[in-house]
Amino acid sequence: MKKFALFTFVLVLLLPLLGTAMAKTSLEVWIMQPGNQDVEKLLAQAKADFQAKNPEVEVNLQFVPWLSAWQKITTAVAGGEAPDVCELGTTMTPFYADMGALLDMTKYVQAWGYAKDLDPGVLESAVMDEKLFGVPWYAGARALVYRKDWFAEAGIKSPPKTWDEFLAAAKAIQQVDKNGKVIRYGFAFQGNGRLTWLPFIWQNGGEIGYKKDGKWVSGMNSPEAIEAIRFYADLLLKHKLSPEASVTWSALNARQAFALGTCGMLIEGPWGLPPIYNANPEIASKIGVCLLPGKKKMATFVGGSNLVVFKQSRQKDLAAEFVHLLMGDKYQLELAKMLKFFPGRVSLQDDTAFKSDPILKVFAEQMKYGRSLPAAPGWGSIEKLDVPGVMLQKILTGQMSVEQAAAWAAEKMNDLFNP
Amino acid sequence: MVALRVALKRYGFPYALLLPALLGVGILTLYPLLNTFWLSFHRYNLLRLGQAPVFTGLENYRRIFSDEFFWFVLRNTGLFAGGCVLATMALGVGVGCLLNVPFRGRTILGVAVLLPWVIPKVAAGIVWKWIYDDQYGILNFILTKLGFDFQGFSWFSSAPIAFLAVGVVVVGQSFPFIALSILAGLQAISPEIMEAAAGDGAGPWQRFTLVTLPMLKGLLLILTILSTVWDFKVFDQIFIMTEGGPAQSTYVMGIYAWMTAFGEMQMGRAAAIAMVMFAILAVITLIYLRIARSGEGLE
Repeated sequence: MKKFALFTFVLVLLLPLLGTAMAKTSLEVWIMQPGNQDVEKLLAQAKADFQAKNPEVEVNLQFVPWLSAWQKITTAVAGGEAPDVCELGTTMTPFYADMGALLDMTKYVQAWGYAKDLDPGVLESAVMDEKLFGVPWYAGARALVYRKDWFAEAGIKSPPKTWDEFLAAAKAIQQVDKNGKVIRYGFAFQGNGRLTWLPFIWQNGGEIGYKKDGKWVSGMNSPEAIEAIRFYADLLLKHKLSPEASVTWSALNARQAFALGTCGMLIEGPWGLPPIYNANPEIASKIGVCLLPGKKKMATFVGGSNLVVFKQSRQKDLAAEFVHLLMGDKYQLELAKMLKFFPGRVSLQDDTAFKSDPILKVFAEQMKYGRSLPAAPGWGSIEKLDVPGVMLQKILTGQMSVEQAAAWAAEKMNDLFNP
Repeated sequence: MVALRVALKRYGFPYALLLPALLGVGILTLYPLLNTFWLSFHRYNLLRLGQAPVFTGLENYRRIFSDEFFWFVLRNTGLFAGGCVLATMALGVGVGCLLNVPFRGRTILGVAVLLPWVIPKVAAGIVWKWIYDDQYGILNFILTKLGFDFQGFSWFSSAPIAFLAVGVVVVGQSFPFIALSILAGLQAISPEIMEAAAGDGAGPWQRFTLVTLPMLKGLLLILTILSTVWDFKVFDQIFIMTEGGPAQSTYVMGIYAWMTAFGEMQMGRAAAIAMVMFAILAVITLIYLRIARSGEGLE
């Protein structure tokens, strides 16, 4: 009896092992929490599609919150439990690539015929040492959103194309009541929104950071960057084209100010428009969009995501195949429409859905001037400490001159760039 | 053998009872403290997960002490914590005494005072951030309705005002505990003593300063130490409301240590900052205790 009990016990212990041996291959796919049920449904459908095509595979789809993504993915990589396929933000990709955790996707992308079809802005974040460590999944860029009605009242014929025209337009639409109190501000300034103003440095021919002799170097204290920082800071400091409180405004505050009719111009992406329409439905018909003004050239920051395959994956070809599915026409277009971003494949950005919409058309045009932030492993630290934002606020609060602040930022960035 | 058993029975039992508590303290306090101490002499970057911490001796401390920003943050923390402790103690003692006086609506006041204390700090930080918001915050709205021009006023654009705004929240959340403790202390003072003092001709103010306060001295001292410790390492509300901004001007030691650890990923240097905080608080506590002891000698 005792023997029988023991036998049964051992059998029960062994059963799960047997189950594992017969189970399907499992493919771990981690996607950032979209916060959008339609997107979740779309991805569930992609999972079903993939499993129908590969009956031996069980796709394990997980949504990872953006806020805990760094932590969760880093822990997984350190513990040898990295997912097969993962979505990574543009600032996260270089970090894991530098760590040596990502698979070079070049040969797959070439086989799919997408090598020349990937969004250049997002691509900048995925390329390191001429290897491709991620495939741009979706992308979005900020342009200049303005009040058509205010422009018309001020007699502005066409939206600004250069810095000078931009400044003139902001001054022209700013209005003061008889007591000298500003009732309409020209521009929604963001003291806490580095992604909106860092492109001014690119527009002036400067660099935020660049690689020199294998090391990352800050470009903040170059003459071009200093001129750009001064131009932007002066919008608030000298010309007072935005409320004083905008020293600490983030994208959300600026959006609010534009929606409430406090400010007449805003640097914003297509994803920011629905919240504005929600806050103030009347404004929808009064909004115009134009390309960000340029100085020496045109430029904007492109945000978005890459799809990556981790080197730890035991089924790299299968993982790549899942990426291929998500990069196909159907899923690329559906996802882009839901997220209000653009497809990672350039050829699809010209889709009629974007071309026929007068506002989306401008954002699509703006993408052609898109760039990524420095693809340096230390950029994450620079963002968390918000070195550019602190630099700008040091100028705005009068603690430092533009030159001093730029030198401070350059030193801090050089320290953090190469950990 | 018998002797050992007797000894165990006699002395072992109390230690056996202490063991769980000691284990808890050891795991939750002592180990992290010693580990932080050890880490503070090493270079350990979170971005380089594969590399073990490298021993660098006093380098982390040298770097912190030679950084002007550290002294700026230390001064910030000292001023902010000092102000908060004063305000917390004054409000706490005042409200505690008020609650000890029987009057109608005392229970309601008691509950109202306790409420901010039960709200989690992060939640309070978020709610107050909305209240202070320059565009749609209710505070600016009310102040403007009252006839002051606070429309679009920014509570977080300059360090002194931002510290004031955050301080209100920190004090509001910490004084109820003081008030409650003082109330308990007051109720432990027997009415006969007060009657005797009144019989000897002491007025209310004299009774308060010459009888009540000296009798609460031990309690006041402990409460002051506690709120000094709490306010010196304040983190949550500032992190939520200003994130140390604008331009790092509302950095306090807690934020500084956190940013060094999880922003710069320099765990070793962050550990050193934490150790400096620990040392400062240890010294302050010792000074308080010394004052208390010398006071006893005088009486």
